[in-house]
Amino acid sequence: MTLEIRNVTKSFRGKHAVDRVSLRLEGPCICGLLGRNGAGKTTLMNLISGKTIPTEGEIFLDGEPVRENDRALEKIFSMGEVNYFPLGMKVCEVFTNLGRIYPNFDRDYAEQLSKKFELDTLQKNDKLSTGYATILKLVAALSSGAEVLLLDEPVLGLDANCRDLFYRELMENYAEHPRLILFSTHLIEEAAKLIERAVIIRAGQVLLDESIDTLLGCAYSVSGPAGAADAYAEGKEILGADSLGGLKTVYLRGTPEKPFPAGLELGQMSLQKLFIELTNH
Amino acid sequence: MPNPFAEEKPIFLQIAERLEDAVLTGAFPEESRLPSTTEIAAAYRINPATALKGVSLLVEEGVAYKQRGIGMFVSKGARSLIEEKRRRAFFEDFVLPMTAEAKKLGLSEQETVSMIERGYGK
Amino acid sequence: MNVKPIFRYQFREYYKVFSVFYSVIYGMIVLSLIFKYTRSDTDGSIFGMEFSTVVCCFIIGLAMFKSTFRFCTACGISRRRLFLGLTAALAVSAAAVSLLDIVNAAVFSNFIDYRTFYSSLSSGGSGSGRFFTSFSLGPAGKFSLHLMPLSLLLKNWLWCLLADFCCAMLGLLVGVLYYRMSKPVKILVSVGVPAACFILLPLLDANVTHGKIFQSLAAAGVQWIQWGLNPGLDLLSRLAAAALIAGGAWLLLRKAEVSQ
Repeated sequence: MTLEIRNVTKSFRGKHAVDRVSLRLEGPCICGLLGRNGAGKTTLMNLISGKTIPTEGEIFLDGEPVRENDRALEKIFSMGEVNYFPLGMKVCEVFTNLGRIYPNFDRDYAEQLSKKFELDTLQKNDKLSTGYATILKLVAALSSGAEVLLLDEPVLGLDANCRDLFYRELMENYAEHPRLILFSTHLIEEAAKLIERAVIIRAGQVLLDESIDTLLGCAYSVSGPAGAADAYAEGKEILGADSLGGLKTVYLRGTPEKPFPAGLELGQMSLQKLFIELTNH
Repeated sequence: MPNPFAEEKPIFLQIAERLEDAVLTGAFPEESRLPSTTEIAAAYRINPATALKGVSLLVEEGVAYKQRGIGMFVSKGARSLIEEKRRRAFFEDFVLPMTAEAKKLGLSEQETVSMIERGYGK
Repeated sequence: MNVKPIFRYQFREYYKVFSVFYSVIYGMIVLSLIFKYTRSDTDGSIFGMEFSTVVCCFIIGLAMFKSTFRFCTACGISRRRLFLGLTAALAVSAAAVSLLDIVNAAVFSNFIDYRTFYSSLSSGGSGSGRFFTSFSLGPAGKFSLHLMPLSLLLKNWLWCLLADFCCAMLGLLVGVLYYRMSKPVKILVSVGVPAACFILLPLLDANVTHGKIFQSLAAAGVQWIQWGLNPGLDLLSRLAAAALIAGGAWLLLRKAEVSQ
């Protein structure tokens, strides 16, 4: 399962929500789509799932264009903040309808998951609280049997217990049915343990598209007296800096030179910190 | 400011270490079956590929072995293997950082040694 | 192209609308029956029930579009497949309700004065328009039934079916049109079109063209109704109309986007 986004642009009233994005994602893989609010993550996911039509460019799944292609579209399941299920439709009816649309939908698994998350299947979907509305979408996504899952902020509005349960179920599901999962979230540290690859979007463009190991190995922090830290950082690619009185921490791109000078502390940058520094400007 | 409590070791290494700890404490006895990568991934909420990497590390070191079609098992003699490995790594993992810290604090060799003796309960 | 999921979902919703609609219809029929057999002075007469069916079809074409579009597109159904599913569902619904109308007329015209528009047309506007001549309780308590020719029934069904289908597709077209329009344009059209038809046009006609517009409209209307009496022409003209409307709806649908 290969998802290829070729030079896709989407403009709304002259502004590019997605600007010449090209990506090639090979499944099975859990790929994190990271970006600040308004960076274009949701638009990109909507383009892949067919909800929105690209202004330019094309999207391919396993070599076939996705647009208006039912065979490709039935391999993709997407969920996001907006609820598209019809008003008044009960949860069990949602599952029934999804079962008719998605050929590999696992109804028993959906019922099992609903029990685990305490989702009332007899409740009308529009009468669910925000948290449970999200849970419904998650259960649907995990049960869909689709090869490609697009999860747009899947844990939005979930309490810590539900998030934990979701991550657990997601990992178990993924281990048993490896597929391509594109996962956008603001809770970067929680996602960092789950994702294998990270794509960072800024202002509609791809800033970075790397495996998580490469990403974490490509930046580091140096802490110490301000003068010493600055001196060390001289000539290197500086991502950002923080100061606390005379203590300065500089964030640098690359790998630390050996031997590392005394008087300075070397630190690894967390994914979240790396993301913040890269997208701060 | 950077989080001073952030984990620095790669996750797969941490997983390998936790599994080794479990072998040492007897939670995973020798010749018993290790949890599958699915179970490990789900239990720790980590990517299965990372879990697999951690388990593969154990296999590489001879702590675990794979039985085709059944799963991963703790090797016979795994405990002594781990202990041996950790002894060899003790210098790098504990002594060097300790002496570096001691030097940073300006502790003399004598002072450090006496602290070690205190640690042994002398 | 598997349109079954769309079909089934649409029918579930249409069924709700039609249940309400037909409960009203049957309510009226029952009332008429009661009037007929309890009061000798009034004869509950029902005429042109199929006009309300036509309006009902328009409504189902229009009302459900937005939620169906959003649901189907969000679940990975291509717009082409959705369009075919909607059209098929509307066509089958039109066939079903028009058939029901004819059956109602055939059955109830025995008891009350139930006429269809088509039947009064085909009898030249003078006939009673009844499908069956009323049964009469003969001296020995027997009743007699005279059946109208089956061909007339079928022609009437076709007439209604095509009218219903056209209106349903028109409803769909309006539904998609409204979905695609932005808010200011929506207001402009909602106010502007009725204003143009009911205020501007009559004014224009009265002062400038001296009644010619309405004359030609009336003539066209009469012509179309007369066409309706010829099944061949009727079929062609209405199918052409439906195809045109469907084409318009498709052109609007293919670029429709799911809004946030």
